Amino acid sequence: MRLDIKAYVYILFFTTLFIVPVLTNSHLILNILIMVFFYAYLSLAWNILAGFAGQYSLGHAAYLGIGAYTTALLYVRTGMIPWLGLLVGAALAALFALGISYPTFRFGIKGYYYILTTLAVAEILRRIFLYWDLTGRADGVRYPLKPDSFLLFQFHMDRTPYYYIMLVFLILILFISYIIRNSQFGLHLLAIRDDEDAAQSIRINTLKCKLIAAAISAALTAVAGAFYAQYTLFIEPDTTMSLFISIDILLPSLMGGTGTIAGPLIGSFLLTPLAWIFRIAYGAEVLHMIIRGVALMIIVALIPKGIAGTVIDYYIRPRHIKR
Amino acid sequence: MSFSPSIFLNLLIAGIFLGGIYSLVSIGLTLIFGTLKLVNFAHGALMMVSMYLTFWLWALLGIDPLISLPISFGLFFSIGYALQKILIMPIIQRPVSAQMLMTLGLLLVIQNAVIMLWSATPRQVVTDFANLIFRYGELYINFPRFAAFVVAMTLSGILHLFLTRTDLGTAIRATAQDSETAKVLGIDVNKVYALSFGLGTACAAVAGNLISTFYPIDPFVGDTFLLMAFIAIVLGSMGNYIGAFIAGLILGVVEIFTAFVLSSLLRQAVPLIIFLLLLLLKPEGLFGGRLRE
Repeated sequence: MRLDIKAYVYILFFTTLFIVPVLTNSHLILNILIMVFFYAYLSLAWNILAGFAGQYSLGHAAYLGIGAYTTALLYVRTGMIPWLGLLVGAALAALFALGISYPTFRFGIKGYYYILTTLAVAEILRRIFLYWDLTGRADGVRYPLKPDSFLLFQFHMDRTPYYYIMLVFLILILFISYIIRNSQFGLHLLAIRDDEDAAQSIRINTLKCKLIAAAISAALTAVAGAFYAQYTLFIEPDTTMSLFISIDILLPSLMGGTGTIAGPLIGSFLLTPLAWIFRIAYGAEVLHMIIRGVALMIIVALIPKGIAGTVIDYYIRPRHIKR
Repeated sequence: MSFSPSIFLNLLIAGIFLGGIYSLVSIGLTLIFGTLKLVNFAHGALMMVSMYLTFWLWALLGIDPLISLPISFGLFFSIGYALQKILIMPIIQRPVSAQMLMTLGLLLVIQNAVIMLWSATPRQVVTDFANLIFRYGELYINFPRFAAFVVAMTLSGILHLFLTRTDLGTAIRATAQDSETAKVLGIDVNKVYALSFGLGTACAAVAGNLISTFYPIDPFVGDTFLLMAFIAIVLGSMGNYIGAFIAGLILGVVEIFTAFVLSSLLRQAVPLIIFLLLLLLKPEGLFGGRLRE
């Protein structure tokens, strides 16, 4: 019964979102909503590795960067259509994540060491991209402007196509998260998160599970990177791969509830517009950053389980126990 | 690019001077890590604020950086002490990741508050001896860097004596080794936590003060030092302050040689790659001690 109510809420919610562009074509509203979807999507991708498998990463910006650069460079240099570039980028990011994660997980690196490792990897990649001729150094990659086309993933007349594409991506990742969460694989991940030694003792292949989770999470993040490249039509290392991007990726999850599915969605709907309103009102990135910082501190101190996690703890779990 | 012996020596000296500063910052970070088991992301930002303090004391009141040194030390010791009590203490029982995220939030707030207050334009303290260079044959020694190095070494030495020869220092080391046992032995662990946070922050603040005469002061200057300190404390075995000291010196030398041989754009990429290899192959660092979590 409870599940049905939840499903109705989701359907109602997304139907409303589908209607929004019909009611308004305000650049401002659509842009903000696109960013809300974008960060919710990214945070859900991060959540698969951090929330389900318990491996906190502070380097997801690296996967975002790989997705964005692969798509952009393949299009600019070889003319490969962005949709194919998106897939190549996702595959590359997954491979990259495997390359990084295999030695890391193999040698039992956990906790703060994993955080530092992912942070270092993203930072190295950003510096290499800043130095490499292929990636355009600090100038980044700029797209040649073409007329609106779905195939070329470029729209200039209005934001509606971007809006629907990102919304569909978001719904897809919600489905993927739901499927993973309710599969045996998902249960294995949760077991690893809660107690890795115990999980190993009941013959869960923890290394394999964590690697798969890292690869899925990275590939999905790279897809958002491809979207970002097509959306801004200009990418540079600092706006795609800096530590602050990694923080933006994890904030919605922390706010809404790491490890839940609705959490990152709720978190992004609360945080992203707030940050954007300040950015637009004051025209400065600085206040946006201060808000991120304050939000991070408040969340960590007051609602460690996030909104959804807290709600589940207080209202939903006790009923299950009573039953 | 060929190395003549004199170029080699000059680079080595420049590397060691830079490394001395990294050492001091890293000792501060590893002191905090040793007792609290927490990597303080705001360490570099606090150092940056100290640089601004030095700048304003010099620009507004004409106080020489070497004279404002004790002010930096005292003030930032108190700031670190208070930060630990206010921000970290309430969540001390939470997972380390939560505490790290707390300091990450602090970093964002400090850095951007500074941009708001004083803009991102780089500033510099210019003292009478700013461009003083001693020359011995082929060797060039930059006086401000030399002075900074000497003070950093002296402070590290004093800190070492404090940690090994006084009761308070022993209490800090005992807590770092085993906080539960330290508690049983009657050590006020909470006080030690705040104390080491204060001391660690003061180390970073002094380092900031020292380099303000030859390093451009901007809101992002702490990032580089934080990164290098991260690497140094892992290289030197986390929590081992002597290890961090040596690792800091090594990193300074590696950075200067990388900048000379490859490119100054990659100066921090090579230490980062060393860091990554180290994390993967020998996460307990070169100097033994604490094992992985």
